[in-house]
Amino acid sequence: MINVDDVYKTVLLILNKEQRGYITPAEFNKIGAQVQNEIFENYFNDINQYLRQPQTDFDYSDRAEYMDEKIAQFKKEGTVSGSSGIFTVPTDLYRLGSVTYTSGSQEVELQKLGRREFYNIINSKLTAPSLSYPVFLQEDNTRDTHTKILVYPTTIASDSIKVQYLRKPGGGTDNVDDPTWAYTVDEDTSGYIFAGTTTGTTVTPSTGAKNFDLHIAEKTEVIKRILLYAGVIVKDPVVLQAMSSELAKDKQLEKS
Amino acid sequence: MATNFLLNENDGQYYTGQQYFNSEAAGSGSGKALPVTTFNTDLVSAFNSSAIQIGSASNFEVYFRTGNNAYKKLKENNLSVAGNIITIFHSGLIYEDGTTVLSGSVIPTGDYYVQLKSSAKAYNYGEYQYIKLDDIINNFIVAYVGADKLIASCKRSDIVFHARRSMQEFSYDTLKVIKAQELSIPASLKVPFPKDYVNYVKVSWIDEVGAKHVIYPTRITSNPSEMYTQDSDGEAVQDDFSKNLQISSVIEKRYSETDIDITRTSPDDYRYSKDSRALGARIGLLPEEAQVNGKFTINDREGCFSFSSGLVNKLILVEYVSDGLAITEDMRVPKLAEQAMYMSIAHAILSSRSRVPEYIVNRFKLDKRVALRNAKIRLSNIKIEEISQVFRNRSKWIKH
Repeated sequence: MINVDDVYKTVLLILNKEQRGYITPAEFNKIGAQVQNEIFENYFNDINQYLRQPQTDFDYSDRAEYMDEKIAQFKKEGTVSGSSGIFTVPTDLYRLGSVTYTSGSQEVELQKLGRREFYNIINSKLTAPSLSYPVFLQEDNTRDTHTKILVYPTTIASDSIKVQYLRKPGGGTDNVDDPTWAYTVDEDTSGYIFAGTTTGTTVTPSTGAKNFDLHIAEKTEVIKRILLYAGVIVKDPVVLQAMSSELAKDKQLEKS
Repeated sequence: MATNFLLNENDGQYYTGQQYFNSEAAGSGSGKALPVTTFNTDLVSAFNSSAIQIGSASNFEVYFRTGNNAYKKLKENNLSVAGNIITIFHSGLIYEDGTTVLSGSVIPTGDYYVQLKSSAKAYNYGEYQYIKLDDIINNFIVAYVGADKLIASCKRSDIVFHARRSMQEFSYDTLKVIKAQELSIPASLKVPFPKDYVNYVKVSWIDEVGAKHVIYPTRITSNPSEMYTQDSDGEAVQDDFSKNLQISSVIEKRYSETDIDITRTSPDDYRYSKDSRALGARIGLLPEEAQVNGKFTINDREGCFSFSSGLVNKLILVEYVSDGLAITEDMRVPKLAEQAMYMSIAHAILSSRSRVPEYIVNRFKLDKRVALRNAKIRLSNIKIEEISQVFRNRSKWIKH
C-alpha cells in the first residue's frame, strides 16, 4: 500500500515549488485512479518481456521475479458457485490465473481452452477431457466482467473447484475502491484537511480515504505519473516534459 | 531409520495390503469418511453413494475393531470411494455377518483397517518397477517445459497426446507388456480377439504337463472379407434394400473340415503323397507347414483367430500386445524406459512445432534414439548366466 496523503502532498510540493499551479483533491483522485490502473496493467507486458530475456539469479536482481513480487499482493484463491459444469467466479476477479479441483489428496489443474480448440480436443480420444486432465472455457455473460467458467467433465462438483486469480486493484468496485484523498474543510481557513481514517457525511467523499493499492516500491512511479498528468492540467510544459523524460529514463533502465 | 522417498507405502500396506486408521471420530448423518488411503493401487468400490451396485466387485474391504485384536468386516454395500477416500454410509450399516455396527444410531468412535483384496494386492506387488503415465506427464511438464527451457510453453493437451502416442508406440516394440489369455478352442474353431488386441505375439496349445506348443499361422489358406451371392453372370445379387446378399464362406468351411494335422503322427509321415492336401508330408514337403502343432489364420472379417480342425477342444494360450491405453492399469511404464519416454515426448513436441531450429530437432531425435535403444537393451533382460545356459542347448543339438 502507498499512502495517498504522502503522494498528494509530494505532488503539491513539487507543483507549487515555483508557483506552477495546484490540483484539487477531486482532480488528484481521478488522476490517481488512472495512474494506479496504468501501472497495474503494465505489469503484464513487463513480466512477459522479462520472461523472454535471460535473467540473473543473484538475490534481488531477477526482474521477472521482482515483477511477480509486485503482483503478489493481488493474487487470490477463491471458490466458485454453480452446477453441471457451469460456474460463476468470484466478483473481485480481474484476471484469471488457474482453475484447480481437489481429487482425493491431489490438486488437479484444469487446462484453459478456447471454443475452437475445445471442439477439436473433445473429438480426439487421446486428448478428450477426463478427471485426470480436465479442461475449462472462460466465457462472459456480461460485457465487462469475467463471470463464467465452463468445466469439463461436468461431473466435477463446484465445492471441489478453486480459482486462482488476480483481484482488481483496490479490491472491488470502481470509483469506490480507487485511491482517494478524502478531506474535511477547515471552517476557519476553508482549507482541505486530510480525513485519514474518518468516514461519514462530514468527509468528502463520504466513503473516506483509500491508499494506492500498489507495491510500496511504486511510490516514486506513482508520483511521477501523477505529475505528468498534473502538467497537462496546470498547462505547464516544463513539468510535462520533465516527467516524460524521467519516466522514459526509468523505463529504459528497467528494460535494458 | 530409513525414510520413504519415492515409496508411498509402508511394509504393512505393501506386503499385507492393510492400512490402519485408529481413533476415528464417530459418524452419522451423511456417513463417515475415512482419511485418504495411500496404497499404490487406487481403491474401487462396487457400490456408489446410494448403495447401488455399479461394479462386479470392490477391490478392498473395511474392518472395524470390536475388541482386543478383534475386527469385523463391514458389509460392502455401505462403502463407496471417491479419490481413494472411503465413505461409510450410516444408514443400515451392518457387519458382513449381519449384526449392526451402529451404536445409538451413530457409527461409533473406533479403529478401522482397510484390506486390499488379493487381486489388488497382487497388482500392487512389483508396482515400484513402473511409473504411471500421468506421473511421466507431470514430470515432463516440470522438467522440460517453462521459461528458459527449450520448450518455453506447451499446452498440456499436446503433451498428453504425445505421451499417450509414445505409450502406444513403446507398447508395440519396446515394453514388455505382452498379455496372455488362457482359452479353449470351441467346435467352431474360432476364438475372438481379446478386447484390447492389437497384434498377436504367439499362439500355443498347452499339453497335459502345461508345456506350450507353438501354433503357427498358415499361408495355405486365407479368410475372405466379403462373400456374396452371384448370378449366372457372376454379378452380385442384392436384396430388397440394394444390399449384396451375403453367404457363408466356402473356403473357411472346406479348411475347417479338412483333417490336415490330426492323424499324422509326425511331420515326415510317409503315408501322405506329394499331392495330398495335408501339406507337410514327407514327399513334396513344404517346410513352413511341416509341423504337427496346428495352424491358425487371422479372420479379420469376424474379428477372431480361426484354427485348424485338429485343435478343437485344445487349451490354448494367446499372447498378444495391446497399446497400453486400453485400461488405466495398463498406463504405466517400466522405470527402465522412463528416460526414453521423456525423450520421445520432447522430440515429438519439438519436431511438430514451427520455428524450432532443425539442429535442435536432430539433437532430440538422437537423444530419443539413444534412450530408446538403451531401454530396449535394459528390457530385453539379458543376464550372462541365463544366456550362457541357453547357449548350452546348442551343444546338446550338436551331439544329437
